Amino acid sequence: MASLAWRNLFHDRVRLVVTLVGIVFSVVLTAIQFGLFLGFVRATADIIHRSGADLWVITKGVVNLENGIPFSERKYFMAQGVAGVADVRRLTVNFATWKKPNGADESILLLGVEVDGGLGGPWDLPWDLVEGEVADLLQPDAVIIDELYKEKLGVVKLGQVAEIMGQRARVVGFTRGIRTFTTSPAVFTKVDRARRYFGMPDDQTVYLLVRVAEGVDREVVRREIAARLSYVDVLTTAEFGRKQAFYWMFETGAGVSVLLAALLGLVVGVVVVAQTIYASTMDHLREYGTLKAMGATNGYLYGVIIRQAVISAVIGYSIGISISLVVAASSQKTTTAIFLPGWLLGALFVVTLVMCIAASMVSINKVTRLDPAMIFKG
Amino acid sequence: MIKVTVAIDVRGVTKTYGAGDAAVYALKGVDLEVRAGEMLFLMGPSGSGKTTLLSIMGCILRPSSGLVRIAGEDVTRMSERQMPRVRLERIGFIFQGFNLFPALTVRENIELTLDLKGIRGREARHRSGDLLERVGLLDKAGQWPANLSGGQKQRVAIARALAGEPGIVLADEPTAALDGTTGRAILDLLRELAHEKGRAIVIVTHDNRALAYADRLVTIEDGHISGGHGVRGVENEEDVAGIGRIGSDWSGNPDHSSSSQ
Repeated sequence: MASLAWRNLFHDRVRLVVTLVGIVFSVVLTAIQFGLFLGFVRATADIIHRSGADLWVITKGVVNLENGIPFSERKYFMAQGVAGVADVRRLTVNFATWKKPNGADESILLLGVEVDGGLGGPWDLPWDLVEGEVADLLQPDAVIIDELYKEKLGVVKLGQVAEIMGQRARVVGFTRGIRTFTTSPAVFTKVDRARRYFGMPDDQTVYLLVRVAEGVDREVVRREIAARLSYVDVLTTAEFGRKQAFYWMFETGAGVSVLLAALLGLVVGVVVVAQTIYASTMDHLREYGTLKAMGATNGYLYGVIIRQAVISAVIGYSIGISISLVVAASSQKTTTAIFLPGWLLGALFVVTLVMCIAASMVSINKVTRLDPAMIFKG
Repeated sequence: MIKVTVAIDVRGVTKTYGAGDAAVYALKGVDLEVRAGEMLFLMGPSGSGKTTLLSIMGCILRPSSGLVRIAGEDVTRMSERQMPRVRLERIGFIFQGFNLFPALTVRENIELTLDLKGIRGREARHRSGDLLERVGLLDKAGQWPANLSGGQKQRVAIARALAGEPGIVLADEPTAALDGTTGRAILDLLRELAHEKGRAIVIVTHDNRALAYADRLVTIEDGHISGGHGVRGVENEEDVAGIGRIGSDWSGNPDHSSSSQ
């Protein structure tokens, strides 16, 4: 009877609410924990992925963006001469000290980008400006920060002045949503100004960002650059992004704790759902026993119980994911973004479904072993 | 003496739980025939093996040894997969606690049995309506079981047990949760159902007052049949007077003459 599963669930509203609360709690917990983990992963490598480069030339052995080692700008010119290279841009990245207008110090990640003709930095850096333009970096002492870190950097409006490494810096633009994994906000300025802040020689850079000409095999260009430039690694943007994420997530141990929290969330979620569905099925155990005594096959019972589990899973998941999406949307206004990509939502649905069905299957064993005492005793 | 058909044939059935020295005998070499059209009462003290025997006759439990035939079919040799078919086609159950599905209406409880047999839609509705009329609850068809009295619940349970038109009805303490008047009405109904369509009805009970309704009484003690008393119409009429005396405790003795076939 198709409606028995549905009726069993909806007849006892209190039990249904208890079941759904368990599933919703698990879905929200798991989604938020994994969303946080993915948000951190994305934050670590967002600048790399959004650079618009096809290839990154980095000093050999460098494993993360923030700790790059400068090399001679000769390599910049050599890279430009490689066949198939459409364009090369310089990028410097260093941790620096930001002195707020009130005199307090903050650590920042200072990125020196190339700005030419008002068309942007190395193609896409910085991105998503909500106030000002990238070309404004051509103004004296100009820097661009993200609006998420206004308070942290003590800046509330354009034109405010602070200090970087004891030198003047004036805010000319605000971006939206450029986060870093560390507590140091990203601050963008011109590459030559960044060198000045650090006292770095004018003929040095930290990274080269390469764009490959259209129709040219990226691998061929990569091999050619690697052959011509000594003591560098040439990585695709995806490779460097993975390296960066792996460094922060696993080599520093910072991400491991986030990942463990996500896995713990999954375990807790599994336990809660399993317990909830198991208890729900056990509540109807006598009815299933009666059904079996009436001549229902095990297949019929499986059908009823699994349908109940699936209905619970679908409803619980829908509510849980809706809540999670609202929380994730709210988090976009904070420095800790929860990222819920489509594949995670799909995976969570499968996990919820499997958890619910598996938990109900455990109790099915009790149903299929028909115990006369269970059905006959009033 | 009339010729009767054996609905349930239990031969040398033993049921043990555990093994070796720890083995507990629930039934020891039980022999019992239940004939079509008779209302057989199974009595005995708690733990004597009544429910175990009922479970074995109902194909819910397998005997450790011995033979059980349901309508001539040897069910002890059947696989687990075949057992639901026997229960569905041959046997109806009535339980002490009614065991109705609280999430289904009265009509749907009955139609559940029909659904198991693949009877749905208009045919199921027609049949459930007939059964509800038979047990006097047609006006309660749309009610939830929780809104019914104990007697009404048991009537629904009887209708449900009969929905699959089984030749055998097994009832475990069907009047235990009911008051005297309601219990008598339920037994009246069961007796009618037994006799009108030649069903074999086995009733496990502790209630001496119900015995006035018995065609035959079988007592069980320590896992074996300790006595059998034919009351009327069939065989082994041994202790009619004794049954009558026990049965007279329940006011409103049934009309035995109407039950002969």
